[in-house]
Amino acid sequence: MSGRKILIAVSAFLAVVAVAGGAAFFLLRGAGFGPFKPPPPPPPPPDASFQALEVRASDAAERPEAGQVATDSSQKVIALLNDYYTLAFLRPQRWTPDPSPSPGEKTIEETITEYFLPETQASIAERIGALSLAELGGRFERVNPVRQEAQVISFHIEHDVSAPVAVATIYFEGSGTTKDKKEGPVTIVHTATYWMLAVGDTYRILGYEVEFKADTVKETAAFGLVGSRGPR
Amino acid sequence: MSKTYLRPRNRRRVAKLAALLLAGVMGGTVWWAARPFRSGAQSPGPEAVGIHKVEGAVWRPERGDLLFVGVLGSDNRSGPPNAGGGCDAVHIVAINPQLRAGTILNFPRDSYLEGRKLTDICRSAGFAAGVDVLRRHTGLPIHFWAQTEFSNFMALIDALGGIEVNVPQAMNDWRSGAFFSPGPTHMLGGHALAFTRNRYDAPGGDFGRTTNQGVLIQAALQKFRNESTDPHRIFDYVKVARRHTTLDLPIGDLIKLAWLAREIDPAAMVNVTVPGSTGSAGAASVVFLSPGDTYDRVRSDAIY
Repeated sequence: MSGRKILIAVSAFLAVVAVAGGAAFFLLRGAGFGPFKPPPPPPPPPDASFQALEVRASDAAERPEAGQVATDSSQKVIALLNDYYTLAFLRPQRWTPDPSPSPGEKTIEETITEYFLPETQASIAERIGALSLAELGGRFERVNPVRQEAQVISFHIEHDVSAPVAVATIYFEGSGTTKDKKEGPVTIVHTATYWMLAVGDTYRILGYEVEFKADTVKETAAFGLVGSRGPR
Repeated sequence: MSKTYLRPRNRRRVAKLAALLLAGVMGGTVWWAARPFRSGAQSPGPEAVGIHKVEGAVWRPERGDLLFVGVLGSDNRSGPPNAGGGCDAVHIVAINPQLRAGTILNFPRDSYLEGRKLTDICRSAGFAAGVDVLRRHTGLPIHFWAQTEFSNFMALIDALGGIEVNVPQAMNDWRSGAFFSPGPTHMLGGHALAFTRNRYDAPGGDFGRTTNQGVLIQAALQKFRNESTDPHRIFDYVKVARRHTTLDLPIGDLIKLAWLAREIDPAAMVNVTVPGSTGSAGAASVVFLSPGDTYDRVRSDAIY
Protein backbone atom coordinates (compact mmCIF):
# COMPACT_ATOMS: atom_id res chain seq x y z
CA MET A 1 0.00 0.00 0.00
CA SER A 2 1.37 3.40 -0.80
CA GLY A 3 2.10 5.94 1.96
CA ARG A 4 -0.69 8.09 0.81
CA LYS A 5 -3.25 5.40 1.22
CA ILE A 6 -1.88 4.56 4.67
CA LEU A 7 -2.20 8.20 5.72
CA ILE A 8 -5.78 8.35 4.47
CA ALA A 9 -6.64 5.11 6.36
CA VAL A 10 -5.14 6.31 9.62
CA SER A 11 -6.85 9.67 9.37
CA ALA A 12 -10.18 8.03 8.71
CA PHE A 13 -9.70 5.70 11.71
CA LEU A 14 -8.85 8.61 14.00
CA ALA A 15 -11.85 10.53 12.77
CA VAL A 16 -14.16 7.59 13.52
CA VAL A 17 -12.68 7.22 17.00
CA ALA A 18 -13.08 10.92 17.68
CA VAL A 19 -16.69 10.95 16.57
CA ALA A 20 -17.55 7.80 18.51
CA GLY A 21 -15.79 9.05 21.64
CA GLY A 22 -17.49 12.40 21.48
CA ALA A 23 -20.88 10.79 21.06
CA ALA A 24 -20.22 8.48 23.97
CA PHE A 25 -19.11 11.43 26.10
CA PHE A 26 -22.28 13.38 25.50
CA LEU A 27 -24.47 10.36 25.97
CA LEU A 28 -22.87 9.34 29.28
CA ARG A 29 -22.73 12.87 30.59
CA GLY A 30 -26.40 13.28 29.96
CA ALA A 31 -27.06 10.14 32.01
CA GLY A 32 -25.03 11.48 34.83
CA PHE A 33 -22.08 9.19 34.47
CA GLY A 34 -18.44 10.08 34.08
CA PRO A 35 -16.06 12.25 36.06
CA PHE A 36 -17.36 15.53 34.79
CA LYS A 37 -20.73 15.54 36.55
CA PRO A 38 -20.68 13.49 39.73
CA PRO A 39 -24.02 12.67 41.33
CA PRO A 40 -25.07 15.09 44.09
CA PRO A 41 -23.95 13.90 47.52
CA PRO A 42 -26.61 13.07 50.09
CA PRO A 43 -27.18 15.85 52.63
CA PRO A 44 -25.17 15.37 55.85
CA PRO A 45 -27.12 14.06 58.81
CA PRO A 46 -28.33 16.92 60.99
CA ASP A 47 -27.03 17.69 64.47
CA ALA A 48 -29.21 18.50 67.42
CA SER A 49 -29.52 22.17 68.29
CA PHE A 50 -31.48 22.78 71.46
CA GLN A 51 -32.75 26.19 72.51
CA ALA A 52 -33.07 27.09 76.20
CA LEU A 53 -36.47 28.70 76.70
CA GLU A 54 -36.02 29.52 80.38
CA VAL A 55 -32.99 29.49 82.68
CA ARG A 56 -33.48 29.74 86.44
CA ALA A 57 -30.99 30.36 89.23
CA SER A 58 -31.81 29.30 92.77
CA ASP A 59 -29.38 31.25 94.88
CA ALA A 60 -29.30 30.99 98.68
CA ALA A 61 -27.52 34.32 98.95
CA GLU A 62 -29.68 36.15 96.37
CA ARG A 63 -26.76 37.62 94.49
CA PRO A 64 -27.12 39.53 91.22
CA GLU A 65 -24.36 37.49 89.57
CA ALA A 66 -26.27 34.25 90.06
CA GLY A 67 -28.30 34.87 86.93
CA GLN A 68 -25.20 35.24 84.77
CA VAL A 69 -23.69 32.10 86.29
CA ALA A 70 -26.83 30.21 85.40
CA THR A 71 -26.86 31.60 81.86
CA ASP A 72 -23.23 30.64 81.30
CA SER A 73 -23.76 27.19 82.79
CA SER A 74 -26.83 26.64 80.64
CA GLN A 75 -24.59 26.66 77.57
CA LYS A 76 -22.77 23.64 78.94
CA VAL A 77 -26.06 21.87 79.52
CA ILE A 78 -27.15 22.70 75.99
CA ALA A 79 -23.87 21.35 74.65
CA LEU A 80 -24.45 18.09 76.51
CA LEU A 81 -28.02 17.81 75.20
CA ASN A 82 -26.91 18.53 71.63
CA ASP A 83 -24.20 15.87 71.72
CA TYR A 84 -26.47 13.33 73.35
CA TYR A 85 -29.50 13.80 71.12
CA THR A 86 -27.40 13.92 67.96
CA LEU A 87 -26.08 10.51 68.77
CA ALA A 88 -29.19 9.01 70.32
CA PHE A 89 -31.79 10.14 67.78
CA LEU A 90 -30.20 11.69 64.69
CA ARG A 91 -27.78 8.93 63.68
CA PRO A 92 -30.13 6.01 62.95
CA GLN A 93 -27.58 4.21 60.77
CA ARG A 94 -25.31 3.80 63.77
CA TRP A 95 -27.84 1.62 65.53
CA THR A 96 -27.31 -1.11 62.96
CA PRO A 97 -24.45 -3.20 64.35
CA ASP A 98 -21.28 -3.01 62.32
CA PRO A 99 -20.45 -6.55 61.14
CA SER A 100 -16.75 -5.64 61.05
CA PRO A 101 -16.06 -3.14 63.77
CA SER A 102 -12.61 -1.66 64.07
CA PRO A 103 -10.59 -2.81 67.08
CA GLY A 104 -11.24 -0.57 70.05
CA GLU A 105 -14.16 1.16 68.37
CA LYS A 106 -16.97 1.89 70.78
CA THR A 107 -20.55 0.99 70.08
CA ILE A 108 -23.06 3.80 70.03
CA GLU A 109 -24.50 2.50 73.29
CA GLU A 110 -21.10 2.67 74.93
CA THR A 111 -20.64 6.23 73.70
CA ILE A 112 -24.05 7.32 74.96
CA THR A 113 -23.31 5.81 78.37
CA GLU A 114 -20.43 8.24 78.79
CA TYR A 115 -22.87 11.12 79.11
CA PHE A 116 -24.00 9.65 82.43
CA LEU A 117 -22.22 9.59 85.76
CA PRO A 118 -20.51 6.29 86.66
CA GLU A 119 -23.09 5.44 89.33
CA THR A 120 -25.85 5.81 86.73
CA GLN A 121 -24.18 4.03 83.80
CA ALA A 122 -25.25 0.56 84.85
CA SER A 123 -28.85 1.65 84.40
CA ILE A 124 -28.51 2.47 80.70
CA ALA A 125 -28.45 -0.97 79.08
CA GLU A 126 -31.91 -2.10 80.14
CA ARG A 127 -33.41 1.35 79.56
CA ILE A 128 -31.77 2.13 76.24
CA GLY A 129 -35.07 1.75 74.40
CA ALA A 130 -36.46 4.75 76.25
CA LEU A 131 -33.26 6.76 76.08
CA SER A 132 -32.62 6.56 72.33
CA LEU A 133 -33.76 5.11 68.98
CA ALA A 134 -32.00 1.87 69.92
CA GLU A 135 -33.29 -1.02 67.83
CA LEU A 136 -35.77 1.27 66.08
CA GLY A 137 -32.81 3.00 64.49
CA GLY A 138 -32.49 0.26 61.88
CA ARG A 139 -35.94 1.21 60.56
CA PHE A 140 -34.94 4.72 59.58
CA GLU A 141 -32.85 6.06 56.75
CA ARG A 142 -32.75 9.48 58.31
CA VAL A 143 -34.19 11.45 61.21
CA ASN A 144 -34.59 15.22 60.98
CA PRO A 145 -35.13 17.33 64.08
CA VAL A 146 -38.38 19.29 64.12
CA ARG A 147 -38.53 20.81 67.59
CA GLN A 148 -35.79 20.92 70.20
CA GLU A 149 -36.48 22.78 73.42
CA ALA A 150 -34.81 22.89 76.78
CA GLN A 151 -38.02 24.21 78.30
CA VAL A 152 -36.55 24.95 81.72
CA ILE A 153 -33.00 24.63 82.96
CA SER A 154 -32.60 25.28 86.70
CA PHE A 155 -29.40 25.65 88.65
CA HIS A 156 -28.67 25.66 92.35
CA ILE A 157 -26.03 28.34 92.96
CA GLU A 158 -23.64 27.58 95.79
CA HIS A 159 -22.05 30.04 98.21
CA ASP A 160 -18.94 30.09 96.01
CA VAL A 161 -21.11 31.08 93.01
CA SER A 162 -20.65 27.71 91.35
CA ALA A 163 -23.50 25.78 89.77
CA PRO A 164 -22.85 22.17 90.75
CA VAL A 165 -26.26 20.77 89.99
CA ALA A 166 -28.84 21.36 87.28
CA VAL A 167 -32.26 20.13 86.27
CA ALA A 168 -33.36 20.30 82.65
CA THR A 169 -36.84 19.61 81.30
CA ILE A 170 -36.70 19.01 77.58
CA TYR A 171 -38.87 18.32 74.56
CA PHE A 172 -37.48 16.75 71.39
CA GLU A 173 -39.43 15.97 68.24
CA GLY A 174 -38.03 14.49 65.08
CA SER A 175 -39.36 13.22 61.76
CA GLY A 176 -38.05 9.84 60.68
CA THR A 177 -37.79 8.77 57.03
CA THR A 178 -38.08 5.01 56.89
CA LYS A 179 -36.07 2.72 54.67
CA ASP A 180 -39.32 1.20 53.51
CA LYS A 181 -40.49 3.78 50.98
CA LYS A 182 -44.08 2.66 51.35
CA GLU A 183 -44.14 4.06 54.88
CA GLY A 184 -44.72 7.71 55.43
CA PRO A 185 -42.68 9.87 57.80
CA VAL A 186 -42.72 8.79 61.45
CA THR A 187 -43.01 11.34 64.24
CA ILE A 188 -40.57 10.70 67.06
CA VAL A 189 -41.13 12.47 70.40
CA HIS A 190 -38.84 12.31 73.41
CA THR A 191 -39.61 14.18 76.62
CA ALA A 192 -37.31 14.11 79.61
CA THR A 193 -36.21 15.54 82.91
CA TYR A 194 -32.50 15.20 83.51
CA TRP A 195 -30.68 15.77 86.79
CA MET A 196 -27.07 16.67 86.17
CA LEU A 197 -23.96 17.24 88.22
CA ALA A 198 -21.03 19.38 87.16
CA VAL A 199 -17.96 17.35 86.27
CA GLY A 200 -14.99 19.49 85.39
CA ASP A 201 -16.07 21.93 82.73
CA THR A 202 -19.17 20.02 81.70
CA TYR A 203 -22.19 18.23 83.13
CA ARG A 204 -23.06 14.59 83.35
CA ILE A 205 -26.45 12.99 83.97
CA LEU A 206 -27.13 11.71 87.47
CA GLY A 207 -30.78 10.78 87.10
CA TYR A 208 -33.59 10.95 84.57
CA GLU A 209 -37.26 10.49 83.80
CA VAL A 210 -37.92 9.97 80.12
CA GLU A 211 -40.67 9.05 77.69
CA PHE A 212 -40.15 7.98 74.09
CA LYS A 213 -42.87 7.71 71.46
CA ALA A 214 -42.71 6.73 67.81
CA ASP A 215 -45.86 5.50 66.10
CA THR A 216 -47.34 2.84 68.34
CA VAL A 217 -44.10 2.41 70.26
CA LYS A 218 -43.97 3.98 73.71
CA GLU A 219 -41.19 3.52 76.26
CA THR A 220 -40.79 5.17 79.65
CA ALA A 221 -37.93 4.91 82.11
CA ALA A 222 -36.64 6.57 85.21
CA PHE A 223 -33.47 6.16 87.15
CA GLY A 224 -31.85 7.72 90.18
CA LEU A 225 -35.30 8.38 91.48
CA VAL A 226 -37.13 6.08 93.80
CA GLY A 227 -39.39 3.86 91.80
CA SER A 228 -36.90 3.61 88.97
CA ARG A 229 -38.57 2.02 85.99
CA GLY A 230 -37.12 -0.20 83.34
CA PRO A 231 -38.32 -0.75 79.79
CA ARG A 232 -41.80 -2.04 79.24
CA MET B 1 -41.78 45.96 170.19
CA SER B 2 -41.53 48.86 167.79
CA LYS B 3 -43.17 48.97 164.40
CA THR B 4 -41.50 50.10 161.25
CA TYR B 5 -43.04 53.37 160.32
CA LEU B 6 -42.75 54.85 156.84
CA ARG B 7 -43.46 58.41 156.11
CA PRO B 8 -46.16 58.96 153.45
CA ARG B 9 -43.51 60.11 150.94
CA ASN B 10 -41.51 56.97 151.40
CA ARG B 11 -44.64 54.86 151.28
CA ARG B 12 -45.30 56.24 147.80
CA ARG B 13 -41.77 55.46 146.74
CA VAL B 14 -42.04 51.91 147.96
CA ALA B 15 -45.38 51.51 146.23
CA LYS B 16 -43.90 52.73 142.96
CA LEU B 17 -40.95 50.38 143.29
CA ALA B 18 -43.26 47.47 144.05
CA ALA B 19 -45.40 48.35 141.05
CA LEU B 20 -42.35 48.52 138.81
CA LEU B 21 -41.11 45.21 140.16
CA LEU B 22 -44.49 43.60 139.60
CA ALA B 23 -44.66 45.00 136.07
CA GLY B 24 -41.20 43.66 135.37
CA VAL B 25 -42.11 40.21 136.61
CA MET B 26 -45.33 40.18 134.63
CA GLY B 27 -43.63 41.46 131.50
CA GLY B 28 -40.88 38.95 131.84
CA THR B 29 -43.41 36.18 132.25
CA VAL B 30 -45.27 37.28 129.14
CA TRP B 31 -42.01 37.57 127.21
CA TRP B 32 -40.91 34.11 128.37
CA ALA B 33 -44.26 32.55 127.51
CA ALA B 34 -44.18 34.15 124.08
CA ARG B 35 -40.73 32.85 123.23
CA PRO B 36 -41.98 30.08 120.89
CA PHE B 37 -43.49 32.75 118.66
CA ARG B 38 -40.49 35.01 118.35
CA SER B 39 -39.43 33.80 114.94
CA GLY B 40 -36.24 35.18 113.56
CA ALA B 41 -34.88 36.20 116.95
CA GLN B 42 -31.10 36.20 116.91
CA SER B 43 -30.25 33.65 114.30
CA PRO B 44 -27.18 31.86 115.62
CA GLY B 45 -25.60 31.38 112.23
CA PRO B 46 -25.48 28.55 109.71
CA GLU B 47 -23.56 26.10 111.93
CA ALA B 48 -26.45 25.71 114.34
CA VAL B 49 -28.49 23.53 112.01
CA GLY B 50 -27.09 21.02 109.60
CA ILE B 51 -27.25 17.82 107.67
CA HIS B 52 -24.19 15.63 107.99
CA LYS B 53 -22.98 12.41 106.47
CA VAL B 54 -21.78 9.81 108.96
CA GLU B 55 -18.13 9.19 108.35
CA GLY B 56 -17.57 5.99 106.44
CA ALA B 57 -21.24 5.46 105.69
CA VAL B 58 -22.07 4.33 102.17
CA TRP B 59 -25.55 4.67 100.73
CA ARG B 60 -26.20 3.49 97.18
CA PRO B 61 -29.85 4.07 96.34
CA GLU B 62 -29.23 2.82 92.81
CA ARG B 63 -28.64 -0.57 94.43
CA GLY B 64 -31.80 -0.28 96.47
CA ASP B 65 -29.97 0.33 99.75
CA LEU B 66 -32.15 1.07 102.77
CA LEU B 67 -31.69 4.56 104.22
CA PHE B 68 -31.37 5.51 107.89
CA VAL B 69 -31.25 9.16 108.93
CA GLY B 70 -30.90 10.49 112.47
CA VAL B 71 -32.94 13.61 113.27
CA LEU B 72 -31.97 15.44 116.45
CA GLY B 73 -33.24 18.71 117.88
CA SER B 74 -31.28 20.76 120.37
CA ASP B 75 -32.84 22.37 123.42
CA ASN B 76 -30.45 25.25 122.97
CA ARG B 77 -32.32 28.51 122.70
CA SER B 78 -29.61 30.20 120.66
CA GLY B 79 -26.12 29.44 119.49
CA PRO B 80 -24.82 26.21 117.96
CA PRO B 81 -26.28 23.00 119.40
CA ASN B 82 -22.88 21.64 120.25
CA ALA B 83 -22.23 24.63 122.49
CA GLY B 84 -24.08 23.28 125.51
CA GLY B 85 -27.32 22.02 124.01
CA GLY B 86 -28.83 18.62 124.78
CA CYS B 87 -30.81 16.39 122.42
CA ASP B 88 -34.39 17.49 123.05
CA ALA B 89 -35.75 15.50 120.10
CA VAL B 90 -34.32 12.21 118.90
CA HIS B 91 -35.53 10.20 115.91
CA ILE B 92 -34.29 7.76 113.32
CA VAL B 93 -36.05 7.86 109.96
CA ALA B 94 -35.76 4.53 108.15
CA ILE B 95 -36.76 4.33 104.49
CA ASN B 96 -37.10 1.47 102.03
CA PRO B 97 -36.72 3.15 98.62
CA GLN B 98 -38.12 0.24 96.66
CA LEU B 99 -41.30 0.08 98.74
CA ARG B 100 -41.49 3.86 99.16
CA ALA B 101 -42.29 3.29 102.79
CA GLY B 102 -40.54 3.30 106.13
CA THR B 103 -40.56 3.97 109.83
CA ILE B 104 -40.01 6.97 112.04
CA LEU B 105 -38.47 5.71 115.29
CA ASN B 106 -38.89 8.08 118.19
CA PHE B 107 -36.73 8.08 121.34
CA PRO B 108 -37.48 9.94 124.59
CA ARG B 109 -34.72 12.41 125.29
CA ASP B 110 -34.09 10.91 128.73
CA SER B 111 -33.39 7.50 127.21
CA TYR B 112 -30.75 5.85 129.36
CA LEU B 113 -28.00 4.49 127.08
CA GLU B 114 -24.45 3.40 127.89
CA GLY B 115 -24.83 4.60 131.45
CA ARG B 116 -26.02 8.10 130.62
CA LYS B 117 -29.05 10.02 129.43
CA LEU B 118 -28.95 10.54 125.69
CA THR B 119 -29.64 14.25 126.06
CA ASP B 120 -26.62 14.58 128.36
CA ILE B 121 -24.41 12.69 125.93
CA CYS B 122 -25.31 15.26 123.28
CA ARG B 123 -24.77 18.11 125.71
CA SER B 124 -21.32 17.05 126.82
CA ALA B 125 -19.89 15.18 123.85
CA GLY B 126 -21.79 16.63 120.92
CA PHE B 127 -24.53 15.50 118.59
CA ALA B 128 -22.24 13.29 116.52
CA ALA B 129 -21.48 11.35 119.70
CA GLY B 130 -25.20 11.03 120.34
CA VAL B 131 -25.64 9.58 116.86
CA ASP B 132 -22.85 7.08 117.49
CA VAL B 133 -24.55 5.92 120.67
CA LEU B 134 -27.80 5.48 118.78
CA ARG B 135 -26.06 3.45 116.09
CA ARG B 136 -24.52 1.13 118.65
CA HIS B 137 -27.71 0.80 120.64
CA THR B 138 -30.02 0.08 117.72
CA GLY B 139 -27.62 -1.64 115.34
CA LEU B 140 -29.06 0.53 112.56
CA PRO B 141 -26.51 1.81 110.01
CA ILE B 142 -27.29 5.51 110.19
CA HIS B 143 -26.02 7.16 107.00
CA PHE B 144 -26.88 10.81 107.64
CA TRP B 145 -28.03 12.89 110.54
CA ALA B 146 -29.80 16.22 110.69
CA GLN B 147 -29.66 18.59 113.64
CA THR B 148 -31.76 21.59 114.44
CA GLU B 149 -32.37 24.03 117.26
CA PHE B 150 -35.11 26.40 118.29
CA SER B 151 -34.62 29.56 116.30
CA ASN B 152 -33.38 27.96 113.10
CA PHE B 153 -36.14 25.37 113.29
CA MET B 154 -38.69 28.15 113.34
CA ALA B 155 -36.90 30.14 110.64
CA LEU B 156 -36.83 27.11 108.34
CA ILE B 157 -40.54 26.51 108.66
CA ASP B 158 -41.34 30.19 108.23
CA ALA B 159 -39.13 30.39 105.14
CA LEU B 160 -41.10 27.54 103.61
CA GLY B 161 -44.42 29.21 104.32
CA GLY B 162 -45.50 27.09 107.25
CA ILE B 163 -46.58 23.49 107.48
CA GLU B 164 -49.87 21.58 107.74
CA VAL B 165 -49.92 19.35 110.81
CA ASN B 166 -52.69 16.95 111.77
CA VAL B 167 -52.87 17.64 115.51
CA PRO B 168 -53.80 14.32 117.14
CA GLN B 169 -55.38 15.68 120.30
CA ALA B 170 -56.35 19.00 121.87
CA MET B 171 -53.49 20.87 123.51
CA ASN B 172 -53.57 23.58 126.15
CA ASP B 173 -50.11 23.96 127.64
CA TRP B 174 -48.90 27.39 128.70
CA ARG B 175 -45.36 26.13 129.32
CA SER B 176 -44.72 25.27 125.70
CA GLY B 177 -47.27 27.65 124.26
CA ALA B 178 -49.13 24.77 122.61
CA PHE B 179 -52.80 25.68 122.21
CA PHE B 180 -54.36 23.60 119.45
CA SER B 181 -57.61 21.95 118.54
CA PRO B 182 -57.34 18.46 117.06
CA GLY B 183 -57.26 18.16 113.28
CA PRO B 184 -55.41 19.77 110.36
CA THR B 185 -53.69 22.95 111.47
CA HIS B 186 -51.51 25.34 109.51
CA MET B 187 -48.49 26.13 111.66
CA LEU B 188 -45.76 28.68 111.32
CA GLY B 189 -42.41 28.09 112.99
CA GLY B 190 -43.44 29.19 116.47
CA HIS B 191 -46.56 27.04 116.48
CA ALA B 192 -44.64 24.03 115.21
CA LEU B 193 -42.03 24.46 117.91
CA ALA B 194 -44.69 24.66 120.61
CA PHE B 195 -46.38 21.55 119.23
CA THR B 196 -43.15 19.57 119.39
CA ARG B 197 -42.16 20.81 122.83
CA ASN B 198 -45.44 20.12 124.61
CA ARG B 199 -45.02 17.25 127.08
CA TYR B 200 -47.13 18.28 130.02
CA ASP B 201 -50.30 18.14 127.95
CA ALA B 202 -49.35 15.21 125.70
CA PRO B 203 -50.53 11.67 126.48
CA GLY B 204 -47.62 9.77 128.01
CA GLY B 205 -45.65 12.93 128.75
CA ASP B 206 -42.26 12.65 127.12
CA PHE B 207 -43.35 9.60 125.13
CA GLY B 208 -46.28 11.55 123.75
CA ARG B 209 -44.09 14.52 122.93
CA THR B 210 -41.64 12.46 120.94
CA THR B 211 -44.53 10.78 119.12
CA ASN B 212 -45.84 14.23 118.15
CA GLN B 213 -42.39 15.13 116.85
CA GLY B 214 -42.75 12.14 114.55
CA VAL B 215 -46.09 13.56 113.40
CA LEU B 216 -44.28 16.76 112.45
CA ILE B 217 -41.70 14.81 110.45
CA GLN B 218 -44.53 13.16 108.53
CA ALA B 219 -46.08 16.57 107.90
CA ALA B 220 -42.76 17.88 106.57
CA LEU B 221 -42.48 14.96 104.18
CA GLN B 222 -46.02 15.57 102.95
CA LYS B 223 -45.33 19.24 102.36
CA PHE B 224 -42.19 18.51 100.40
CA ARG B 225 -43.95 15.86 98.35
CA ASN B 226 -46.83 18.19 97.51
CA GLU B 227 -44.55 21.01 96.43
CA SER B 228 -41.93 19.11 94.49
CA THR B 229 -44.14 17.63 91.76
CA ASP B 230 -42.35 20.28 89.71
CA PRO B 231 -38.76 18.98 89.98
CA HIS B 232 -37.38 22.49 89.62
CA ARG B 233 -39.00 23.44 92.94
CA ILE B 234 -36.70 21.14 94.80
CA PHE B 235 -34.07 23.84 94.44
CA ASP B 236 -36.28 26.18 96.51
CA TYR B 237 -35.86 23.76 99.40
CA VAL B 238 -32.15 23.41 98.77
CA LYS B 239 -31.88 27.19 98.78
CA VAL B 240 -33.65 27.48 102.14
CA ALA B 241 -31.56 24.66 103.57
CA ARG B 242 -28.38 26.32 102.39
CA ARG B 243 -29.45 29.63 103.88
CA HIS B 244 -30.29 28.26 107.31
CA THR B 245 -28.12 25.19 107.69
CA THR B 246 -24.76 23.64 107.14
CA LEU B 247 -24.95 20.89 104.52
CA ASP B 248 -22.03 18.62 105.29
CA LEU B 249 -22.62 16.04 102.57
CA PRO B 250 -21.93 15.74 98.83
CA ILE B 251 -24.41 17.63 96.67
CA GLY B 252 -25.19 14.42 94.78
CA ASP B 253 -26.27 12.75 98.04
CA LEU B 254 -28.42 15.77 98.87
CA ILE B 255 -30.20 15.47 95.51
CA LYS B 256 -30.75 11.75 96.05
CA LEU B 257 -32.23 12.44 99.49
CA ALA B 258 -34.51 15.02 97.90
CA TRP B 259 -35.62 12.50 95.26
CA LEU B 260 -36.38 9.98 97.93
CA ALA B 261 -38.33 12.46 100.04
CA ARG B 262 -40.30 13.37 96.94
CA GLU B 263 -41.32 9.81 96.22
CA ILE B 264 -42.16 8.59 99.70
CA ASP B 265 -45.82 8.54 100.70
CA PRO B 266 -45.88 9.96 104.25
CA ALA B 267 -48.93 7.83 104.97
CA ALA B 268 -46.67 4.83 104.40
CA MET B 269 -44.28 6.01 107.12
CA VAL B 270 -45.12 4.30 110.40
CA ASN B 271 -44.63 6.52 113.43
CA VAL B 272 -43.25 4.35 116.26
CA THR B 273 -42.08 5.46 119.70
CA VAL B 274 -39.68 2.97 121.23
CA PRO B 275 -41.42 1.59 124.29
CA GLY B 276 -39.89 1.95 127.72
CA SER B 277 -40.52 2.94 131.30
CA THR B 278 -39.50 5.81 133.50
CA GLY B 279 -37.20 5.27 136.42
CA SER B 280 -34.18 6.62 138.18
CA ALA B 281 -30.48 6.23 137.71
CA GLY B 282 -28.92 7.71 140.77
CA ALA B 283 -30.56 11.09 141.22
CA ALA B 284 -31.52 11.40 137.56
CA SER B 285 -34.95 10.70 136.16
CA VAL B 286 -34.43 8.49 133.12
CA VAL B 287 -36.25 6.31 130.60
CA PHE B 288 -35.28 2.68 130.32
CA LEU B 289 -36.03 1.55 126.77
CA SER B 290 -37.66 -1.83 126.08
CA PRO B 291 -37.42 -2.08 122.30
CA GLY B 292 -38.22 -5.80 122.02
CA ASP B 293 -37.85 -6.69 118.33
CA THR B 294 -38.38 -3.11 117.13
CA TYR B 295 -34.85 -2.59 115.90
CA ASP B 296 -34.64 -6.03 114.25
CA ARG B 297 -37.82 -5.41 112.31
CA VAL B 298 -36.66 -2.01 111.12
CA ARG B 299 -33.14 -3.19 110.31
CA SER B 300 -34.32 -5.87 107.90
CA ASP B 301 -36.41 -3.75 105.53
CA ALA B 302 -36.91 -0.36 107.28
CA ILE B 303 -40.55 -1.29 107.90
CA TYR B 304 -41.90 -1.76 111.44
